Amino acid sequence: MSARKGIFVDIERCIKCHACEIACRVWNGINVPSYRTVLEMEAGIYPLVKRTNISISCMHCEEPYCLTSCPAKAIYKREDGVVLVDKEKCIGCRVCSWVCPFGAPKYGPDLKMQKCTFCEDRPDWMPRACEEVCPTRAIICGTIDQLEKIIKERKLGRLASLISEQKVTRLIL
Amino acid sequence: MEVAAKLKGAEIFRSFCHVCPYRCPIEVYVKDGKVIYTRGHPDNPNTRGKRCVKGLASIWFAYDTDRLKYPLMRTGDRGEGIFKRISWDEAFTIIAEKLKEIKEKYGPESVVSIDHGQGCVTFYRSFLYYLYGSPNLYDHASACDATFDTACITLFGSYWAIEDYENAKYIMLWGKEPFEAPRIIGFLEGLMEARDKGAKLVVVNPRFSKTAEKADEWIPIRPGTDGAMALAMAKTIIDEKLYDQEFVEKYCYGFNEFKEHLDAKGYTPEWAESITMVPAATIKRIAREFATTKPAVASAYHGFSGYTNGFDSMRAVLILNAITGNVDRPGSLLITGSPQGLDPPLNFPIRVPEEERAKITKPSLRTALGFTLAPDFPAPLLPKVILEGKPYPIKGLILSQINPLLSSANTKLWIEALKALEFSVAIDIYLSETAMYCDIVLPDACYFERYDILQGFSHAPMVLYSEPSVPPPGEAKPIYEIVKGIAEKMGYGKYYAWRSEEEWLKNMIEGLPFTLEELKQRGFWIGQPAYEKYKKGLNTPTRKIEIYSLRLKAIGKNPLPEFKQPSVIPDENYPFRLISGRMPFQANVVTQNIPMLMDIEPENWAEINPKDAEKYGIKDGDYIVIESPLDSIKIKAKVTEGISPGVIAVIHGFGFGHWGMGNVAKGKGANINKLIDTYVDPISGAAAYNECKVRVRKA
Repeated sequence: MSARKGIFVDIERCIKCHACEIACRVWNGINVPSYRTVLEMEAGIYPLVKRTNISISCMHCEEPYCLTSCPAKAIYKREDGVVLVDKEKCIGCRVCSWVCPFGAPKYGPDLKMQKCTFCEDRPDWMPRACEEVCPTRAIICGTIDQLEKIIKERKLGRLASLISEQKVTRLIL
Repeated sequence: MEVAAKLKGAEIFRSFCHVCPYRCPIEVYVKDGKVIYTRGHPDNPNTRGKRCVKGLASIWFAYDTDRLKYPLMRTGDRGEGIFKRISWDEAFTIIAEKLKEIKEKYGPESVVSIDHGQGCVTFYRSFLYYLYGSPNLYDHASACDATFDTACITLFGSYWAIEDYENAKYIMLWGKEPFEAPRIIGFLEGLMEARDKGAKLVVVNPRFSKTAEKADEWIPIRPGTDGAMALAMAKTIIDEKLYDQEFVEKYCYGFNEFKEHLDAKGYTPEWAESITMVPAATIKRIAREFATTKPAVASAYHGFSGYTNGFDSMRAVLILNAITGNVDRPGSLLITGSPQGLDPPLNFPIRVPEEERAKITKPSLRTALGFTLAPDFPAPLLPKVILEGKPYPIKGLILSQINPLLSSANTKLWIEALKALEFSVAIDIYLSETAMYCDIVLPDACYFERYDILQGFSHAPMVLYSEPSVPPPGEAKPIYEIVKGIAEKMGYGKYYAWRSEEEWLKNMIEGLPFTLEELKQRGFWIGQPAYEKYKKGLNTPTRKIEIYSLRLKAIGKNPLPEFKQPSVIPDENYPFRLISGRMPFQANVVTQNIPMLMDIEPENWAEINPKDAEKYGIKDGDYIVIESPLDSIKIKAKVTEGISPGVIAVIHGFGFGHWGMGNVAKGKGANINKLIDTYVDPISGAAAYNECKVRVRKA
C-alpha cells in the first residue's frame, strides 16, 4: 500500500501530440516553459520500423537528486511524495538541472527553477492539466496504488489478446 | 466542490471549438473579461472532457494582437497588402453596391462564395441563395471530405459514416490518421481502449505515420494504388466464401454483379501485388483476418482524396465492410442517419417566404461542370473558371474563414484568378494571404465571441450550442451581424430584424425535440443512436446498400469500383511522388500564429528514405530543394526509415509558408501547393493533392 503520488506515462499509448505540453503552459502561464517535453525514438530499417514516444516531466523521485544537491535547500518533498521548489529560497544556481536525469528543471524569465508541481493549485477532484487533456489517456496521475492497478489491467489485456489470438505483431514480407 | 484559486469567481460559458470543422463542445472560463481556461465538455461522448492540442492552444485567439480589428479597403495593388481602415457603414455600402452592380451586369450566379462550412455561415449562404439568387455557395469539402462523402452517398445514401473504434475487434485504416490528424478527440481514447482489449489495428500508408506507429501491422503501399489492394481483398473474401451471405442477400444490392466484375477484371491478389508492392500472401492473410474477425471496420479518408482514382478506391474499401456485414452495427462502420443524421435537419436562421425568394435561373457551377453527386464544387477548378469565363462569367468572390492561396493547389493560378476578379471580399480573423488580394476585408469574431448552433459529428443525432464569452477585438463582428449589415443596405433588412439572437437561434432548432433553454443549459443535445438502419431502408434508389450504384449509373459512370492508375506517375526527370502528412498540433492554415504551437515545431519538414537521401547526399536536417514541373520550394529534410523509397512526404504541406496572416506565422517553413498542378477526382471533385511528381537536390 502506498498513498505516494506519481505519474504514469504509457508509452504504448503516447502519440506525441504535445497536448500535455500545451495544457501545462495554458494552466501554468503561457510565458513559462512547458514542464513537459515529448520525445521520440526511432529504430529499425524500412519497413520494419518502430517509433516510441514518451512524455517526460519531473518524476517526483523517491530520492530526488535535485533535493539532495540543492545548496539553498529550496527543494522539498511533500508528505504525499510530490517534489516542490520554494522560489523564495531558490538562488537560480542550476545545480538541479545538472543532476536531474530527466531534464525536469526549467528556468523562466525570473531565472529561478520551476518544474512540474503536480498541479498543486488544482483541487484533487480535477485531473492534473496534462492528464486532463491526454487524448489517449497515456498520462495518468494518482497514488502509486491506483497507478499499479491501471498498469496491471492494461498489461493483462494486451497479454491476453496476444495469447488467445496468436497475434502476429510485425509485418512479414 | 473546491475550485482552483485560479478559476474562483470565473463565469462558465458554453461553446464549441472551431479550429477544425469537427466542433468539439467545450466550456469556456472567463474571469475579469478574459478567457482564462477552457476544457472539453465533461459529459459529451465526442470530447470525454478533453480538448486536442490545437483547440487548447487556440485560447490564444482571444489574446492575439495580430487579429483583424477594423474593416479594411484595399488601396494598393492586389496582393500588396496595402489597406486603409474604413467604417462598417462604408464597408456595407461598398459591398451592397458592388453586389448589385455585378448582378445587373452578369447575373447573380457570377458571385461565388466559399466558406469553411461552419455554423454562422448559414447566414450568408441563406442571404446569397434566397435573396441574392446565386446557386454558387461552396465550402471546403473538395479539400477534405468530398471523396468520403460521395462514396457514402452512393453506397449508403447518407453523407457520412463513423468508425466505431471502441467496440471493434479489427480496425483497418487507409490514408486515415486518427493519431496524426485527430478530429473528434474522444475517439482516440476509444481506439486505444480497443487495442488494449486486443483489437488488431492495421494501417495501410506509404508513410510510417503516428497511427502506423501504434498499429499491429503497418503495410507500406505504393502511393495511389490502395484501390487495387482493396479490390483484391474483396476478391479473396468472396472466392473463399468468407463474406456474410445473409447480409449481402438481404441488405446489399448488386453483390453478384460485383463478384462477376472482380472475376472479369482479374483483380487477384497476385495482380494487386504487381501494382501495390504488397505481397499477395499478405493481401490474402489480411483479407481472411478482416472477414473472420467480427466486428471489424475498414475506413479511409484524406489520403485517398489525393488521387484522381480516389473515389473508386474509397468505394472499394467501404464495400469491404458491406460484404462482411460490418455496417451500422456496434464495432463496425456506422451510418449517420439521413441525410446528415438529424431529422428534421437544422433550419436556416432567417425565414424568407417562398414567393419572396430570388429566382435561380442558371445551374450551379457544380452541376454545370458535371459534379452532380459531389457534395461541393471542386474549388481547385475555380481559378480556371474565373479566367476563362466558362461555363459563365464569375466576377465576384466572397470568402469566409478560408485561405485558398495556401490551402488549394496551384498557387500561381489562384493569384492570377484573384487579380482578374471585379470584386472580392474576405471575412477572416487574420489578414490571410488570400485576403491580401481582396478588395474589402472584414474582421470576423472567433468562436469565443459569437452565438452559434451547429450539428455535431456523431452516430447519434447531436446539436451543439455556442454563446459569446468575450467581446471580439476592436470593431470585429460575428458573421450574423456582418450579413445583417449588407442585407440592410440592399433592402432586405426586414428578414434580419431580430430583437435578440434568441429569435434566430429558435428558428434554427424548430421541429427538433428540445427547447433552446435545454440546449443552453447543457450546451448540447444528443438523441438516441439508431443501428441497422438498412432494415428500414436506406436513402439509396434501391433502399439497400448499393455495391452496384444506381446513382452512378444514372450519371453515366461506372456503377462498380475499378482500379485506374493515378494521373501523375513519377518518371526519370521527376523520380519521386510528393505526398503530405500532418502534425497533430497544427490545423492546416488556421493555427500558425499561435506561439505555443510554433514553439513545438517552428517549421515543417520533408521526409525522405535514407536510401534516397544517400543517393543525393542529403543528411538529416539539411535544407533541400523540391522541384516539380510547376515550381520549387526549399525545406528541411528529415531522413527516416518510416517512409517508402521513391516517396517524399512533406509534413503539413499547406499549413506552413505563410507570407501574411500574422507575425508568428510569417516566413516559417514551406507550402507545397505551389508545386501541385490542378487535379480533381472526376466524380467526387476532391482536390488530388498527391498527383505530383518531384525531384530533389541539396539546397
